[in-house]
Amino acid sequence: PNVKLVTSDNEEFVVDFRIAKMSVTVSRLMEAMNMSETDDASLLSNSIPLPNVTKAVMARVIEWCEKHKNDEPKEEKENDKRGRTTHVVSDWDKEFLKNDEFGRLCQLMGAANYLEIKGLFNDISQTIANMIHGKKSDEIAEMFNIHCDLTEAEKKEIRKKTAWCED
Amino acid sequence: SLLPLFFPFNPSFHLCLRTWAQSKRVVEMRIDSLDALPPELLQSIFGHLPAHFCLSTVARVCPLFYRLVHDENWWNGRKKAVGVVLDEREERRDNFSLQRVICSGEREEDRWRKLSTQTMYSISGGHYGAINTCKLYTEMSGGKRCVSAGRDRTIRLWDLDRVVTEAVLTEEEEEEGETSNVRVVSGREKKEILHSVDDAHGGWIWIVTRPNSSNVTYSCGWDNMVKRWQITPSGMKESGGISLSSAVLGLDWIDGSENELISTTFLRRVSLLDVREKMMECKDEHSEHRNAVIGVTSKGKYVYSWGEDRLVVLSDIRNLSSPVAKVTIPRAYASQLSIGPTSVVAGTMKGECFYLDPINLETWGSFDVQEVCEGTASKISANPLRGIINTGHSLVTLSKLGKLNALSYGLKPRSLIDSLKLDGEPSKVDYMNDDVIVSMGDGRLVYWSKP
Repeated sequence: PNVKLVTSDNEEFVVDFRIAKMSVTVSRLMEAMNMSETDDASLLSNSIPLPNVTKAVMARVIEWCEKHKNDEPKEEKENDKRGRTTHVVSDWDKEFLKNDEFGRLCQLMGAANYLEIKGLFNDISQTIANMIHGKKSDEIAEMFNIHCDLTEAEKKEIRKKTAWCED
Repeated sequence: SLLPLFFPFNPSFHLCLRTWAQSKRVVEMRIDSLDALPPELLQSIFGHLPAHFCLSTVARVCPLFYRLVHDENWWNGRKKAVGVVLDEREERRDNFSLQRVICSGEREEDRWRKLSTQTMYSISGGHYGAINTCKLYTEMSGGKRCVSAGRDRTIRLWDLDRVVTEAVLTEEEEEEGETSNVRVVSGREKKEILHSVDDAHGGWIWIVTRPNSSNVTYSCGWDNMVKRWQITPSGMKESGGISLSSAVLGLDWIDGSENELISTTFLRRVSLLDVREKMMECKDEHSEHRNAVIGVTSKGKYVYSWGEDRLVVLSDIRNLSSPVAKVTIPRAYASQLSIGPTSVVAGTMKGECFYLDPINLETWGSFDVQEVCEGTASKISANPLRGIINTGHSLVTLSKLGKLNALSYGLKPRSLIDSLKLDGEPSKVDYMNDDVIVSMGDGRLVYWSKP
């Protein structure tokens, strides 16, 4: 069975029920609208509005979901005494996210967060973190398109406050 | 100063942030990454980055990032994620910093993970028989040094930089062309030994220690003596001492006071020594312990002594004769104790560690080192602790059976390395600026330099 999703720019996406269920948000909306897998009429007569996602971003989200629809539900390891864990981004996911420019990546992350697709969300936040890691603060500002209007004196103050973590 | 503008609870900060954000929207008409990412999403990205990088770099990007990186809730989330469990009383202390514990803890984890791939320097030939004590220090010039002493009554000052350059492969390895992490250094040619004193004491030497960037070394031993050693152009010379009433087991210098030492004896004494003159004097003492006092350490004005009677006693050098607090350690006596910035950790003859409040010795919690590191309860085969270093963000432990471990900080620690089994029975560990040294019962020193 298929489900209709409608983006903010009024584009309709028809996706498999299983794909739709990968989003916790969509899943909850379907429940609220009494749509069920076994009730074709309920699926045909309703569509899910997603006012926070644009067509371009939705297409990417669906592409990711198609690839991951058969994934085993990953059991979040309950603090098995491992300390800070780095989320491992699979090769396919790396390839998938490789060509997104920074701004689009951020939009995609926003969508993954809104739709509550945990796997995609973790993939992107880790990918962005990897992009930031090792960069200088002005390079990060550039990535985020931030104009730092701090004066040198203010910067010095901040540096003083965080001096203990300097090498 | 403009800094108050950045404090989250300052109303003017929010104002500043808002105008700043508004001005951005006017200027930036194209996709703005910050519009796509609300603060909580930025924080989850930062959560994937090392804490140190967040504080040193991310926080300096802009006022918003500064605030997000200094958000207390975000740190509590990180703390939960890495599983750091602390007593509330410790967290409430003025000098406690969760940021420092997490940030330094992560770096510590990196350091210990590297240990297994690092060159291990096995230094022999300096002592005959067991070494009881070793202590790392750095010279003014930055040179890495170590002082060691033991049953052979000698004191050796080692040049660890030289150890690293002189190290060779073992003969067998050279023959077999094997690659190994072990490099053997023979101190017999004395190239690595800067100074040495034979017959420094008339009996086993228990402790040898020295303040960093100082020219003096202190030692104590089975001959009831505490001695001071001065380095002169002609070598290391005795420059003072005192004979106490029985064997001297514990010795430490007092922070920020070059004139005082604290020592403990086999016959129950904890004594404050005035070391200004060649003939040292006992200024004050207490005999709160009911049995041999195994060790002593001091921090500021506070002195912590531990003994065979299972007592840990806290006293103040300003009034040493009336101890401030004491606690009896359950099951076995503390063989080791180390004071960190906000906690005291005592390690026992049964291999347990107890976190104590440095102010009143209340017990915050305890765990069994072997259980933490290997997941097996060791209640039956107790593995006495021979060394503990409490850095305030990690714990280095050494057990009699030769296991060197590094644990994460807190009441529910985890092992940061696969415990490293040393060949033989170790006697003491020291850890400073990422350098690790262990003294062994067979007269060797085992050393790993900062990676």
